[in-house]
Amino acid sequence: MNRIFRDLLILLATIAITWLVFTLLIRDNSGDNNSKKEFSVISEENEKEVAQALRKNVFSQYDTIQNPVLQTAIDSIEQRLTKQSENEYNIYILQDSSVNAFATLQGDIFLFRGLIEYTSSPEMLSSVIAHEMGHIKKEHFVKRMSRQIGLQTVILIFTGGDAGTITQLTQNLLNMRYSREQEQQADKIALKKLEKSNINPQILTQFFLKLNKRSSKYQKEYLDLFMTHPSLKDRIQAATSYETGKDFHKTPIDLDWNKVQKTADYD
Amino acid sequence: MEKYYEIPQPEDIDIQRREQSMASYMMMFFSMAAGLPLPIINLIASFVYYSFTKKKGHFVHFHALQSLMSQIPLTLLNAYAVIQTAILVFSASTLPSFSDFFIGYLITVGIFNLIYIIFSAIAAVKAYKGRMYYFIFFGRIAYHHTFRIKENEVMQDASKQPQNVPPKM
Repeated sequence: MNRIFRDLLILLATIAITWLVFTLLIRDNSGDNNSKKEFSVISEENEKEVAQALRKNVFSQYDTIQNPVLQTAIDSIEQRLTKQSENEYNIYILQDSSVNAFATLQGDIFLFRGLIEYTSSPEMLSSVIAHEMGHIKKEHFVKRMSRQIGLQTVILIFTGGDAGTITQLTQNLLNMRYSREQEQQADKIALKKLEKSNINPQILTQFFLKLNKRSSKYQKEYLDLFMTHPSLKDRIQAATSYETGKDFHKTPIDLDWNKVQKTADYD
Repeated sequence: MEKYYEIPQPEDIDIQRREQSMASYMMMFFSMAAGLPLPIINLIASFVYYSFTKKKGHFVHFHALQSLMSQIPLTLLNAYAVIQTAILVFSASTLPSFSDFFIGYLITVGIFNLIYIIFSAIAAVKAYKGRMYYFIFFGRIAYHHTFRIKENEVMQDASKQPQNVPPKM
């Protein structure tokens, strides 16, 4: 009779341990890897179409800045950040003075000129870009989008909706904000990415602190993506507590930032 | 101290009983495939089969009971996995998101199904050869239930009065 209980204990323990082990394994992997946890109802091709529609909409509102100095600067930052990942990103710079950046689909990242002028070093800008790359990596845009306009509409769009609806909807989509969890997730990826790229992750903290200062200075004048976010304090805390590995060493990005900022301004 | 019936040796079990014992494990494979969307059908099938084989002797009874009992927890695990997945997929107004715990659960259930199928196959082969095969935990319980000499059975034996008795001399 005792053996029956012993067997039962072994059985239950095996199940519990297996469950725990796999849960932890998944948790570890989901931090940085491209593990797809959510079902993708959207095909690659349809995603391309929507990304294109969004791009079109953005470009109809803002001019892009295309000058060689700025472009090489952005390229070198992108190269630094993506040296170990396969994702292809397209970074566009928009002619607008707001301190903002956003990411959509298919690796599209949009930066406003104001952000380039606002950041005090190429490292600081790369921390913002790394954050946006985090959103793309986690496919936050699609997730957010489906919450915003309903899953069925998303499926409709992605399975060949007409162009008119898409243009109407894209405007709403560009104004939507990410959830607290999504921002934190993107921060986490950004911190790891910065460390891997030999940039001190604490630059993200500095950027947040700078934003924080600014937001208390101009309370209502600016309604930017970063500042309106309720959890800036939490995010600062999370970024500050991030610890780099032992073999981490810092390599500065070799760019004349003043010159880059000036060219962005002149255009 | 519990008393148990003697376990029949392979040469004592006829081919029909061996096949019936094997079938109690094999059934699971078919009913599992048939009842996949609703993983309770295999349980019903096993139960029906079990109630038929009850009277076919201890050996068949043991294998049928072991198969049935071991399916109960697995079926519950499967049912939860299927139902919860269905809820997440169909009820979500957004893209369904699975927690790490749930994905871990799904993997665990998958692994235990695999293990169960392997052990069932071994048990089926052994049963066909007229051998006993004990699963962990379930094997002991099934043996206890099928081979134990119940008290009322013993009592019945004792109370049986022979109808023809010799005269008192």
